[in-house]
Amino acid sequence: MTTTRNVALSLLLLAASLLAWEAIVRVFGVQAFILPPPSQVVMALYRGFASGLYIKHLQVTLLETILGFAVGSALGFLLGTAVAMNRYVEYFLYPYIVMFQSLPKVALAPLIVIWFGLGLTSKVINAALVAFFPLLVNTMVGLRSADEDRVSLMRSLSASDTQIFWMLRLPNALPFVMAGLDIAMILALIGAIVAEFTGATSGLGMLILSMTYTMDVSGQFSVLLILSVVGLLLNRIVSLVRRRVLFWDPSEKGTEAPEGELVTPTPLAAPRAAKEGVA
Amino acid sequence: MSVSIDAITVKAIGKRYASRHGPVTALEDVTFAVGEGEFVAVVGPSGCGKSTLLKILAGLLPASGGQALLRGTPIAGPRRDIGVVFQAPVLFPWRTVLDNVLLPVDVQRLDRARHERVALELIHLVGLGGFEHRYPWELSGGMQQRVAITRALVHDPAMLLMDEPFGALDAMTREHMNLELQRIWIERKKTVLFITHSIPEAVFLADRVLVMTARPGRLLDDVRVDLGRPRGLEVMNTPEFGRHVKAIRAQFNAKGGLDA
Repeated sequence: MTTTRNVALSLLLLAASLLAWEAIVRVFGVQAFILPPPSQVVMALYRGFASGLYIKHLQVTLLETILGFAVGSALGFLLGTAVAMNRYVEYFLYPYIVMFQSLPKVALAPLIVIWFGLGLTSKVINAALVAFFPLLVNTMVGLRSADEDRVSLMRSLSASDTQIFWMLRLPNALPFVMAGLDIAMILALIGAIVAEFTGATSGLGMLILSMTYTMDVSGQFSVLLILSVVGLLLNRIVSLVRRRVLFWDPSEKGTEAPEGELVTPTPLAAPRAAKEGVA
Repeated sequence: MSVSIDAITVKAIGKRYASRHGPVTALEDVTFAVGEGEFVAVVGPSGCGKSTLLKILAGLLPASGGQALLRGTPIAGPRRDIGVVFQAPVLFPWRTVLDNVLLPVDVQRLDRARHERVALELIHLVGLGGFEHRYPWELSGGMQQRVAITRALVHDPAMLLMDEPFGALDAMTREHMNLELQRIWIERKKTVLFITHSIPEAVFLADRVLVMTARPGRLLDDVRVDLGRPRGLEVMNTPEFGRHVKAIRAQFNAKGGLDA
């Protein structure tokens, strides 16, 4: 009962604010190229879809985003695994990774467009670049966060490092990896759009830019609306997958784990720390 | 009387490790033996190195001195003929109860089909029948610890090393688990080294109680508990039981109390 009432209330609130927006624009005579009324945005949306224009550009942007997401997160996951599991890789590579990470990746978009052209490749690379880091960092943290007691248990069963990786570290890292994917999905969309701004022949970002030149602000609003819906849907898909994969993770259920993680007074971490100290 | 090789032989074992405040001696000159099929409890205040001792026996930590033998062979790392139960259940949340119990089988690449029958049998033995396909978060603390015990038994190790396995449980569950453990021990005839800081628990469960002191961890006494088997909870009210508890507690008091 309360949920249906809440849905009705939030719809009412939306309708009220759209009406208020429409009213303010009309009463104060705001120019359409400054702030178009919602009715004009809806008209632009309709025209865009009816002519097939939006669908065409939407397909391009979606493809760029998903390819960039896939490539970037796969590379981030693999490199994160390498850094977490091999201290040579960490020693020689990680400083550069940190350096590169502090750079705003979207600032590379012009360079990437120069190198890879106006087509799909440059957009995918830019999207992959921004999607890469959350996966890298989260995979690293996740693989290293395996509970010391669980590692001890595996060792006491004479498990090999490979077994500890596949049976403990990797499943243990999944909540972190999935959280990284969540962020990477949205970042990939941003990366694709920014690359389209810099130079493209198609895509929703290119469309927004071209609408700026024709002062088609209601058109821009309608594309922004599409982008936010696309972002929401992509995010939802990742969340759905996450809930499926992490059915066992207490943070997915919003309840505390009943498992008692106890603090042992003995130096559990000592042998491991000693091993890692040998550089 | 027995002439067979002892299950566990510990000769002058010592353990020192570096800490932020300089070197710490966790164990010093600890010597004892556990016979095949014997239930031995190690009791001592927190920080007396009893968990360190267990980790050395489990092959998780190297000793800094002395020698530890399992069935006559020196411990050079983790072994497959021991089962370890830790303070926390240490279950994998992505595995069901059955799959958690079968973890040693998966790790040691044993015949899964055959061990699945063993696992189901054991799960029933510890009173978890019907929970095989549940996940750890669906179980209470006591049930989780029973899963951990079942997991330590599934590959049929000759020895069980238990590190305060019931320390986190409430008093009622703990007594119940003590009874269960005794029953499993009688049925399965394992050698058990059981670490605890509860003197009554040690006396109730063990054939022998090793008493340890803290900093450095040293063996103070080796007390034989000559109470019949199986022991019911009412044994705790008998004068013999009280005498044992009192005698062991007196050792600590002489050294300045349990938590000195």
